[in-house]
Amino acid sequence: MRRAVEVLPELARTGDSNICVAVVVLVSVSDSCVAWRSIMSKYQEMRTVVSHEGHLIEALKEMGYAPEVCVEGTALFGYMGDERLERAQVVIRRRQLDSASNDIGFRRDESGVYRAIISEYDRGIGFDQDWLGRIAQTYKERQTMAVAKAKGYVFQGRQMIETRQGKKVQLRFAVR
Amino acid sequence: MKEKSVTIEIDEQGNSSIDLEGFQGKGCGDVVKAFQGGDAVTKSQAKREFYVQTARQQSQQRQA
Repeated sequence: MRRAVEVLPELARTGDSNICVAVVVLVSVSDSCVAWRSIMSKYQEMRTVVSHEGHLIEALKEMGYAPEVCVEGTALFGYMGDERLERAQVVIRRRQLDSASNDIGFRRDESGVYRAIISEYDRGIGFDQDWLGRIAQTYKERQTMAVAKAKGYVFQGRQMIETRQGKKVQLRFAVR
Repeated sequence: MKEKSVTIEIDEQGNSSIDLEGFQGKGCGDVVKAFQGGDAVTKSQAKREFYVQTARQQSQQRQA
């Protein structure tokens, strides 16, 4: 005799991150027969961490800059041509910025994350948190496309969505 | 069978979301992990409507 379906959601975590969500559905089809099936579907939000040099360079190029790259790190220069103490692996030279700008650098820290080095002046003329946010947005798009290509996912479209918080890039893929 | 799809949205602050549809088994976690990379997770949740729908479909199949 068939009975009502019972649904038992359960969260399964993989390692120390909230990566995996498993929903276990118990279907009771008869008094003597119980079938288990593991079903997974998920929504997750993330904050982009810039840690891939290639995607960072691509993002900066896409935004119209021609970044210099130096694995060991290269000196940053101030608006008067003075060499500064700060060094960075990825640098946008001041001539690509404002006439009174200093170099902007992205220094790779011990954990492999790129940290922006921006002078107070340059932050004040628009190379601020919003500008860094747009770099992160472009970086994440490049990273996403690279992952999808490597995994063989089928690109189904890119769309710009207007929201109250600003423009969002939406990327859609089909998975075989 | 529902097609597996992935939708990713990225805002102007560099925050992103990933939305999976139609996945079953371990593949779900692998897909999320691949797109997540080194990003920091700020919210993670199962999609209730999916497993409810699946349970209903299975029930209908059993009764057919």
